[in-house]
Amino acid sequence: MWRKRKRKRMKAAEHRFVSRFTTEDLSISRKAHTNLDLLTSNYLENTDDYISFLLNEKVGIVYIETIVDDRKVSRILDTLRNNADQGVAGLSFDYKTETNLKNIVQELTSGRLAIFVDQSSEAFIIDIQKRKERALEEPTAEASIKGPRLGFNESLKTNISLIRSRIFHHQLKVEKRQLGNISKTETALLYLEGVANNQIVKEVRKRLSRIEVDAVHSSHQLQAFIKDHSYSIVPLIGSTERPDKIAANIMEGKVAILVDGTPFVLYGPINIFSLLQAPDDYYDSMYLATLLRIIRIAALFVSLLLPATYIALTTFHHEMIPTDLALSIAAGRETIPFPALIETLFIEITFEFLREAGLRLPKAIGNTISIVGALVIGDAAVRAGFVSPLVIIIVSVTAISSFIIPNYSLGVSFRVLRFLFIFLAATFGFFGIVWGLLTLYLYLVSLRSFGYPYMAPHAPFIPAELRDTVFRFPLFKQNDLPAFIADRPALKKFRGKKNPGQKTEEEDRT
Amino acid sequence: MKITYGQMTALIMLTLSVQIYVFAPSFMADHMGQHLWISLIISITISMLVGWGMLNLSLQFPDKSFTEVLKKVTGKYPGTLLSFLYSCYYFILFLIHTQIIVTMFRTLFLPRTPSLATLLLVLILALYCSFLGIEVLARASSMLLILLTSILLFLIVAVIPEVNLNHFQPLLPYSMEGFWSGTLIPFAHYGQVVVISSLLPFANKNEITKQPRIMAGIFFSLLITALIVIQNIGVFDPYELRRLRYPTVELNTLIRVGEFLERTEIFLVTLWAGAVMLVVGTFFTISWTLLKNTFHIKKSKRIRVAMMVIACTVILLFIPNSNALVSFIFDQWVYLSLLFHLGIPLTLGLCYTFRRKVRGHAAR
Repeated sequence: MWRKRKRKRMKAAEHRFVSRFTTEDLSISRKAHTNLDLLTSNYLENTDDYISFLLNEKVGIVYIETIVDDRKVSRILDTLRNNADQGVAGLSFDYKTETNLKNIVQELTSGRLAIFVDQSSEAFIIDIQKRKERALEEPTAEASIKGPRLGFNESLKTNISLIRSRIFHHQLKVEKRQLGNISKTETALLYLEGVANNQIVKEVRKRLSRIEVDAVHSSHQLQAFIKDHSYSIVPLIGSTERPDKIAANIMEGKVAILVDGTPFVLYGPINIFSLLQAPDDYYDSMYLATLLRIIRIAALFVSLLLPATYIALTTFHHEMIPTDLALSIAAGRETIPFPALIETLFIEITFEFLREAGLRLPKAIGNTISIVGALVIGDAAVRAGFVSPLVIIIVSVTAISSFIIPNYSLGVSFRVLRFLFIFLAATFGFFGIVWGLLTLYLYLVSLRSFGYPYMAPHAPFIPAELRDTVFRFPLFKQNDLPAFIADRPALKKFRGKKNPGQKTEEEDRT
Repeated sequence: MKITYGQMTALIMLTLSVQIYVFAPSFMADHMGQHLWISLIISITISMLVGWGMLNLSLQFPDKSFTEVLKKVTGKYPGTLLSFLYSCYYFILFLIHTQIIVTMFRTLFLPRTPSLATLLLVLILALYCSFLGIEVLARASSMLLILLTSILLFLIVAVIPEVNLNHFQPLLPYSMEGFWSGTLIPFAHYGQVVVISSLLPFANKNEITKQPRIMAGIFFSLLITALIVIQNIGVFDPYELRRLRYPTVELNTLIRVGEFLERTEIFLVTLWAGAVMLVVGTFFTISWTLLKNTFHIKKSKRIRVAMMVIACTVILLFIPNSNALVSFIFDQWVYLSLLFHLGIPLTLGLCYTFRRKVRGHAAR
């Protein structure tokens, strides 16, 4: 019975792909005007930006005017008019040939121009695509103080060139493929051959080839198809707008996936600690980087556990609170008619409303609304005896902590988990929190990113690789490539001196 | 997916580091007074020997599960029976550890919360652990072991100023009264080292076996937990210690961090609870694995859920509170566990030594 249902579901899912029933396969005719008619009637009906006409009665021209370069069209038409006897051979453009109308339509929708010549069974396809490209800007979500200010934009070619300009090596491989049955979105898989683990590269290739979808609009859409655990709550694939970050990850043996039309580049395998690293960690001293990482990890725990701890302490473990503080909390909560759970949830949810409202509104108004909303509602709620002042402090500190997490997706995941911990603490006190933490820890340990353990190098415990997790050791101590990720025997990074500033024994002797 | 020998050792160390100092110091003090250190040394020695024997026996049959090893060594039917018995043994350990954590939290921190609620939470976690498998538990154990060991070492160091050496006087006993029963108590805990045989089949055979390292790790765990038990005598004299239900928690309460943090034991107990819950999950997973191997069970989800229902029923009927639990552990389990900690391992050793056919097969 289950199998039958599954088969039914699969069949229904198949019909959901628009591409399965739209394109009819036809060979081109030897008459140019027939081809134009076929295209108009069978494929491009009601497409007002589709241009088709006959030139000299023998040559048919078709293109979609909104995505082609007008100047190039004029040049082609002038050449064809002036050198009618030479035909396509007189053009100063590269071209390819197609014999199938379905493919020609695909080319047209990708910004190409097709030329049909009478008595010819082939159409000539010329790439005259015109792309509107945004200028290269500093990534807004991943700003850096000392690092480069360059971010990716929406053009695949530009993005690949930004990476290539940081890794001048023939081992940097770029494998392009089209994804999306209708959108035919260009994607590229980048890795450093000999350093990237061959098994991981093969696996990524396999997962990309398995994707069947009508359109790929963004790199994040791909994540759902290629990550190891489809229902995972935490991000299992990294995503960044920074070329320096991608180049560094490729150098470590990871793979990057670029998608045309999006500035966010995917990379993997990752572990949870890499999501807590910021670009400036590598542009500043190791002491500062280590301190900042510890602060970020602390912020992660605070954003997850602070409201839950408050509830557990005030509901179950009063004796844990130092006497003076307990008296102060009791005084603050004296007039509050609700249990700690309700008042915390009320402020948490209000804050989530404000956060979402701030995102949706225009920037100038959004900030004002957030600040005014937080101040006014917080103050009014305390004055009305709705919540205690301590809850306002706790929720504010929690919110600030959640903004410290460098990876937005990880921050969001922990926001969701925070609510679970609030309920566990309200029901079981510290026992609930421990239970939740252990369950979360086991869950995270069970996760993998392209087969690489998500909690490595802490679980499994690999002491040699702890040099770049919580603590950031000097960069010259990080020459070894990570286990699992890198294809170690194939190519090693240069062997650095143990301490570049220190004299060697030979120098000492001389 | 296989685990490394290091992960396996961490998991064994974790299982050995969570239980003995909960109830045992009071009962050991009752039997042996301040001389309990002697029984600790004896039980550690015997446990190390048993652990070494079981490790070596299992290493003779690489790529074989513990059930298969039992069948090879003792024969098909006795092996099946022993495998089933060990499955029951780990199930009982799972029940004991579950109820230890439930009763402790109920007594100390959650007096108004119904035991059933916390019990269900622990059982759900154990079920989840069994779905994740030993590989994940072993990977997770390293960090938890580091945390737990740090806490135990911190406890030992922090309470040293409270130790009164006079509590150990006279150092040697005048008679052997209570000696054997006093030794059986720590051995009932340390004898759990036999878990090594059930975990070894999960280890990666391509790795070089470092037997001394495994044994050193086990010894370290036994030593630390033994030090805590001995420290209990040093802080509370034997007469006071007998009256305490959770002596090590009382030990925790002596730690003061300035005047601000008045009760720090919740942090220590909380971390300990995390470790115990992982051990609960480990024992259940091992019990289930043995049962599956014994009866060649393929479809497993429903049976595992049924096992949880049985566990819940047994706990509520037979060991519903700390009194019943303590009575079961120290009146029955310390004797019954001898069969699994000493009786069966000795039999296996003898069978392996004297049955030529078995030795020949192992060599191949």
